[in-house]
Amino acid sequence: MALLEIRDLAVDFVTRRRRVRALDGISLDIDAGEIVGMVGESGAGKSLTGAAVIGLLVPPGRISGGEIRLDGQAITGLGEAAMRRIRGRRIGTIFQDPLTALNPLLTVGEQLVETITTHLPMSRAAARKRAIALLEETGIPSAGRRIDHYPHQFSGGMRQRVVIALALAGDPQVIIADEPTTALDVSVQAQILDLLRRLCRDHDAAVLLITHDLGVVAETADRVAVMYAGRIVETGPTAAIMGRPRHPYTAGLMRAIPTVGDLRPRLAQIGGAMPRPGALPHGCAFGPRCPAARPDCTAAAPVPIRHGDVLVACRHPDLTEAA
Amino acid sequence: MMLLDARDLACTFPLPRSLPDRLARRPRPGIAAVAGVTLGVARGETLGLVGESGCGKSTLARLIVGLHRPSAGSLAFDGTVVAPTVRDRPPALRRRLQMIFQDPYASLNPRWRVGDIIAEPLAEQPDAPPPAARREHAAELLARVGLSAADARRHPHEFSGGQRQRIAIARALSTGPDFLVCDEPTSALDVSVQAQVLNLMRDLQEAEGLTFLLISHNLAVIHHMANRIGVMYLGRLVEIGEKTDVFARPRHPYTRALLATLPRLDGVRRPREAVAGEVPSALSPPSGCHFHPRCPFARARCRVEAPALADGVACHGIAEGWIPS
Repeated sequence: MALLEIRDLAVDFVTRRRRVRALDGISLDIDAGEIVGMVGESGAGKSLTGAAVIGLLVPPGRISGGEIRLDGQAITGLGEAAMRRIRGRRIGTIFQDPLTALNPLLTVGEQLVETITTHLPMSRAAARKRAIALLEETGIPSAGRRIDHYPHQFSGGMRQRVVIALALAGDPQVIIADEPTTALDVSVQAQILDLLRRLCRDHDAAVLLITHDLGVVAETADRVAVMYAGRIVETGPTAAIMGRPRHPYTAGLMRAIPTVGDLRPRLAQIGGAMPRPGALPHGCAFGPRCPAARPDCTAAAPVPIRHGDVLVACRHPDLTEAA
Repeated sequence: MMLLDARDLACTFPLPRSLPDRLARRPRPGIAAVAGVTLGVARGETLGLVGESGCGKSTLARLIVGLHRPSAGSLAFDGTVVAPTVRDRPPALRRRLQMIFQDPYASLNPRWRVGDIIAEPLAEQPDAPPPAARREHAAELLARVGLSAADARRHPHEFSGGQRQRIAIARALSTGPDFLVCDEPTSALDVSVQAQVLNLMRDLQEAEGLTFLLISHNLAVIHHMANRIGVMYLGRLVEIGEKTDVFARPRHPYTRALLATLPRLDGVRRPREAVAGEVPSALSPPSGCHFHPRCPFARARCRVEAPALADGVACHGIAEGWIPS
């Protein structure tokens, strides 16, 4: 049994006039000590999945189907009070922009101590010791002195380390990292990804790494889930998916990305744009943009089919492989 | 001969002075965003400029199109020294030198129709064609960037990010320029859309013989588009050369570090040498060679003396041969 299990998760945005399905049939397992990368373009539903797991969907968004289980216990349907005890304690979060994730008016130490004492039975003195240990663990030099500094006194990369220390404060089993390196420069990005990998191993945590950057996933994740228009189209071990994408969207995405060493004069492009939730085409949502689409693709949304270690939601994966 | 020639171009943004400093008549402090950059761009080529945030690449772009006034240095276009700011430049020059900005959500006026946005640079010219001809021209440009002539009547909010960037490209092309400065043209776009825009830029370059100065923090985009590459670090150009040479044999320690951070897509994990530390603040750049605090090869001379760009690289260790190449 996986530490975090997402089963058939559906999220709807319900207004008086209509109901729009933003996530549909999301199923994903993350084991302890494993990093699962969730990739997709903006609007695919990556961040929404993360928000659903930590119970922070913004109304009118709500879970309308499926289940999320943490260590075997269903956490969908828990009340706000129970969710608060899980958030920060058993599920930690790291967001994209470290500047907005931190309170500018409190020192880093005050924020860490507050978070630690909220979740763990500790005195303030013990919490401060733990805070310094966390800052050291996330690679902040002279943590004993830096703990009394304010967020603006840290550089971007150091600030993201503080945010990671905050996410670890309650010693969580699951970490949701939503675009943790997008706001950072490339040289710092590599450092933060290394840190994330080390923490996942040392704490035996299950990490959901949400990113638009296939390169980040290729470097960091053990397994990948590719999202398109609110659904997972392909899941499997990173090397298997990157080496041999079976879903035409994954394949198209890989060919659209310029890489160093690639000498093609033109990049392959996927025509058109991703449909918006509520305006999905009938059948496979990728159908209208798919180079290998067949008449039966408009029949119904394809169900994921297992090919070895990989699950692919496509009726004709053989056509992609042949291409 | 180079189409564009920048010599020792510098731009320092003044900072406020404290009252005691004002009373003591201390000189006004400043951020040297661009500190003496010399480079040339040949006709028909794409020069890619890479560097991390704050390295001065966007400021350099703005200096070239005349949106900032340089504090030192000179700029020549097609063999003639040009005025520092766009206001002082003759219309004939302005129409040849255009720019594409990073954020297509901020660079298009939301109240204007797309046709008017595209025709505006032309309308500003002294010999502007009459409105009917401008409309026709705008429709033609829209078709050239892959949109339809009917889109001219719509407003920017009706378009996706990639389509907006096509509109921005059409606007830049409206005066028939030969030099385009493209400042992170795809970094606000999703990857599948990025491919569309990069392909479009390539096609236009081939069809019209355009010259590009392409600025990006994304090494893969630069690798895909550029013929030559310049690497900037804290306001200085640290390395410049043919793309194939720079990627195959990077010389400056910073270029090597940047290339080492490149992710691979094959899913095979390699140990990456993460560069130690972060880019220091431009407010108080390190003495001597700006990269010395992070450089594994730094020696005493690097701490006191800024290396000059020689043979395409600004590094004491390379010049004196104590860094293996």
